[in-house]
Amino acid sequence: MNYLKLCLLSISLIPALVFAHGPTPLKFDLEIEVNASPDDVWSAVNNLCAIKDWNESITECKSTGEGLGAVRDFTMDNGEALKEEVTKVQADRKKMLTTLKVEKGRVIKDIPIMSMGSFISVADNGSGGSKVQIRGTAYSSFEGKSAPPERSDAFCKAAVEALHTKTLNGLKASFEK
Amino acid sequence: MANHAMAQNLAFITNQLADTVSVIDTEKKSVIKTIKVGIKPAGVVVSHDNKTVYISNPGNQEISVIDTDSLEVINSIKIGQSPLAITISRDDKKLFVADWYADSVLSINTETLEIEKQYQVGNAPSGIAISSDNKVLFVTNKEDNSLMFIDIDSGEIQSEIKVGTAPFGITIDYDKQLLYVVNVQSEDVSVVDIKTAKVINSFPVDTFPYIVAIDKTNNHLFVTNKRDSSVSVVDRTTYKDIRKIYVGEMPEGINMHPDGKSVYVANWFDGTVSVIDTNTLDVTETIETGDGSRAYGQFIIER
Repeated sequence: MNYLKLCLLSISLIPALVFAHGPTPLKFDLEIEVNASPDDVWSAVNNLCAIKDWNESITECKSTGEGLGAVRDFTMDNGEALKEEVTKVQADRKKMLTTLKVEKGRVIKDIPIMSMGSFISVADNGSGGSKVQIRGTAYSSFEGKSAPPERSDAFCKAAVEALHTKTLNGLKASFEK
Repeated sequence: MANHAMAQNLAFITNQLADTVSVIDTEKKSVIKTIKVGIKPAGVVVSHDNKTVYISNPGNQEISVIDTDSLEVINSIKIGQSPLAITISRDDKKLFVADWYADSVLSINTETLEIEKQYQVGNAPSGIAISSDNKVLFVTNKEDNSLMFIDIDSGEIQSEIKVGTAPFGITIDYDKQLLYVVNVQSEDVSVVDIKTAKVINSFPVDTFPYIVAIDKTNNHLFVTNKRDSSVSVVDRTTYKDIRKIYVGEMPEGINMHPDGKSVYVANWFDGTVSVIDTNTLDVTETIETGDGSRAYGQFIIER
């Protein structure tokens, strides 16, 4: 009995190393105005693989599930395959959080992050259209005190912003063609 | 010459993305000074004699020492690889700093500012606290999902217990001899009895919770939920949910004001501080601070 307890305790204390990250996140904060109603834009955003149509860097996308817990597996034009999960939905606020996690040790080409939480939200822009925001945090995959430039927070931030900007521009274009 | 420490209550807010500390006069509810510190300042602790504030800067691996009278950085201490959580002994003699990447806690002599001891802990130490008798150090190991009890003199690990997933902030309830450990990934708070080193209860909060503040007057616990941009208010005895208060975007550090009438919350994304009235549970003020306001630790001068 005691031995069993000890075993269980040992198992429970095995480190969950797979998705570790550093102590200080970076921040991104992007916004675009779309000439369409918030309801229509929110509906489009809820189609998780619409990013494939909006973002030219995303070549493939497959989604499973709907709403909270839904997952999208997508492939970038550089061949990197990534997975994002919907980890929070506030439908009343037209706000959704997707979380991207990268296995420890893997360095994503061009976007060397370890994890990212992106809130996409849609609000009335006050003149009949929508204000769409993608805001959130990400962590560099580099662990330790001095990251090389190609894995620095500044590099990761620019890469994440570029990715989300393409999505927002494509979203806008899809409503304003 | 103005003596800030004697004349006012001050809050020291670390701004992780601005490399500064905003000093808030809590009477005026405004920033009276912005102090340049190290890189990516995150952790903060005020000495019990109210004379000194210590800031951890994981970005350039140093501790900034701020004099609360002059509001100037009077010293800096080079330390470890990634100093984050920071606390001070009840007698102000030892500073303890958790080094995230080194999986260790370092103790610093506050007289000499020299590192005295290194404690090997678990993977990614994220939160620290000290027992009221200065004998035991409590450390959360984020990637091990555990809480350690460490004998400060001998360095011996007295116990290591499993808490929730990805534990972060630790807050001590000195009256009840309990620890509140906030678990970021399992989105709950583990209530740990200090004497028995056992989790005696847990209660759910919201997305990406960070740390607890204790309101003794109203018998409430306040918990910041970073990715819900809210603060959960929970009964300190029954752990029943009382209310959720929306604050600024991505709240992190939270402290009770010494007067017991308000709670200060640092909003990382907005770069602001929300002030919550502890009676009405409404946000009464929002104070502009700096980008990435984090204020992880004890940040208000108590008197």
